[in-house]
Amino acid sequence: MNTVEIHNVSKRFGPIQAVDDVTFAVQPGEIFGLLGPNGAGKTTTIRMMLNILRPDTGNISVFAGPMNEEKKNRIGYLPEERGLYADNKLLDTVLYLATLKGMSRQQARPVAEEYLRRLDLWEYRDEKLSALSRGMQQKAQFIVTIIHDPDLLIVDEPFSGLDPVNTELIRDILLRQRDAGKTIIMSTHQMHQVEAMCDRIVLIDHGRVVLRGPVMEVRRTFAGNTVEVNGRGPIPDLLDDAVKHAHLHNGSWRLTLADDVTPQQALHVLAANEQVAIEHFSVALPSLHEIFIQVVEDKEPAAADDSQPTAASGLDTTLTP
Amino acid sequence: MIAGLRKTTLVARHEFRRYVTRRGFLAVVFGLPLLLIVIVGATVLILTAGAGDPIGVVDHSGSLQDPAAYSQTLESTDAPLLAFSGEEDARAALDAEEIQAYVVIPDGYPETADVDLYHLGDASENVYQDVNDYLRASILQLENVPPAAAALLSEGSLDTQFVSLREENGQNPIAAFLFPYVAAFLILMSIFTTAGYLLQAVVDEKENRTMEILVTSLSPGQLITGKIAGLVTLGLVQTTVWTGSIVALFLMARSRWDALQTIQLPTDILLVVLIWFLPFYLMMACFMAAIGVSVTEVSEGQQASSIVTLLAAVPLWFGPALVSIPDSPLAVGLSLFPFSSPLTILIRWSLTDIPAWQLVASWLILAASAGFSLWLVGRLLRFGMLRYGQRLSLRDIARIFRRQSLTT
Repeated sequence: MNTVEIHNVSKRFGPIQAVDDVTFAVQPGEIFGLLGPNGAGKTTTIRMMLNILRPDTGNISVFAGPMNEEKKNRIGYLPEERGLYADNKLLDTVLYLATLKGMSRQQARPVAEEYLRRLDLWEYRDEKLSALSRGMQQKAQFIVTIIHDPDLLIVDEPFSGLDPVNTELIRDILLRQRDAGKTIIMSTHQMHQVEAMCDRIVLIDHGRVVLRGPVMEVRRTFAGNTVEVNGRGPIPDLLDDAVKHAHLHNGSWRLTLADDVTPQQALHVLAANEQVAIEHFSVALPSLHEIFIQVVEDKEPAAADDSQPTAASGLDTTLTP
Repeated sequence: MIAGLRKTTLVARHEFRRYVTRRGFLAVVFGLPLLLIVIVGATVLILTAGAGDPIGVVDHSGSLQDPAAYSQTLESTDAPLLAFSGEEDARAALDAEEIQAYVVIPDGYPETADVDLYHLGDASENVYQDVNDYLRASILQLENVPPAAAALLSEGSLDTQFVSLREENGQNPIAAFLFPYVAAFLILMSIFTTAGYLLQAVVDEKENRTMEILVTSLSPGQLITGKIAGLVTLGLVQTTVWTGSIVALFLMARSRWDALQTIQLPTDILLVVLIWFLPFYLMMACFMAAIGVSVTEVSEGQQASSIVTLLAAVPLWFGPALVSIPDSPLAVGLSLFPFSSPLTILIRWSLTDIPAWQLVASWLILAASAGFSLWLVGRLLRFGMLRYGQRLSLRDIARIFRRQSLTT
């Protein structure tokens, strides 16, 4: 059973079509990347999931049915725009917001202490939030999002404002939640985090889904005809006309093959030549960052289901590292 | 349902705690009683300064009571009277500061009814009253007075004398007018402070995005109901502290000043305040919250809220007209208009017998307006909470009335 199902959802604000016929589903036990450029319609989609906004058309199902007040206790939401009571004390704020999620203060206190200690905030528990740094406030808000052990976590830019150490802490908590079977929808512009954490993604641009699927499949689809080769010997010279473009970077050759040459053929040629000792050979996968830019700049939507991710048309697969 | 009520209660408790410990709130709540204590204390000091010094009596008529005998009937705090045979002796005693003033009773008094009171400018404010009391007691002894009053007077108790006067005059008319005005003033003050907090809280939560987190935990209706409940409770605490302080001060003052004996605490006014206060407060709080949702800055909201507050103060503007003709069409109209009805009813209460239909209609209209306001602010909140940095236009509000898509 999918945790969230969005079917043909559209939303218009006056003359602006914020969300246009969006469909996707999110399953338990996965981190789902909701990606897109600024103003693409991600936040509007999230707000419709949470019933803060109502769609003009289409259906949204959360935990196998329409969103209601009871289900709010099973959801943790970290909005992109952070906001907590600046003049309230940290621990009081965490406990108050936990009680609004259905916990008693007695239940919430030990959990709050555990998270505050884990995120190095315990000693600031009696400080007003306005006295905390931006990163600390960010961590506090993350604790508020997760303290009630929600089944569905929706996190919008969870790493913004965090140093590498704290980024790792938050990332570790999210991965553990995923491993515990929770559903996580993550919206972020940090594509390396998406690559490292997300199981599947959907890319929205101008309100429409332009790309979706498992992360690795998406990358393979966009891989094109480029290979990475590590080894000794005259590697590009041996391939001769089979290579359109060769680039050496950090001791590794990145070869863009001719259109009629497959990576398998190139590997066969290199492996058969005694002058060459191959240490590493792989099809070069573009980063999600590169794919994101290409798809968004192309702006041509592509229709595909989750099992068959489809690239936008006219993509240049000769990607630079 | 129960979970929703629990969350509403949590919000109410949070809002109450958040503001009840604020220095600004504590300063307002306890500042007013302290100010009153200072004012009353200073007044007492002024009124009683030199009050105990004797007052000289030069009686050329020979018809008044013996001052020494009269003085024995006085309380220790009142100025005793001393008889002088001539004005020169009295003047000498005044110059020597043995007495604070002296009164010269002319021959033929009380027919002439012309008495001169001499002092040096530093006599207490009570001298006039003390002399009057003496003269009244003497005159009542001379003239045909009710047997019961004469009997009481012969006991020499000033308290008892005023009891007899109250039987003749009933409630002090100034007090009957003063108490509603004080109550009206307190209500407005209470609204200014606590509803102002509500306005600020809503604007802040909207603009710092806290509201977006809150509405993923509870509904906009539960959120705003909780906020209003918390801050109305805060207002009730404030008003209770003020009312309690004023009543306590009044009771203390009445025990010291005989002149206040004629003033009774109008408990019925307090009941009227309570019955009209709650829906009125709810309505005003809803309007403040609605303004908070519709604007982008607290200062902008304060400007808008001043219009609502001015509407509530309309009965005070028309105070003289209401007092002079408390049953005029204007008075009836203001009694029915929800923004002005509580204060108008309060002012009219002691001045006239308000017809029952007006009371019932006034309260029902007010209660219905409060309910409508609560509904309206819930809709507005859902509509306006995500409009960061944008104010709601009248067109937007019209859309809400037409029940169009509640989106931004």
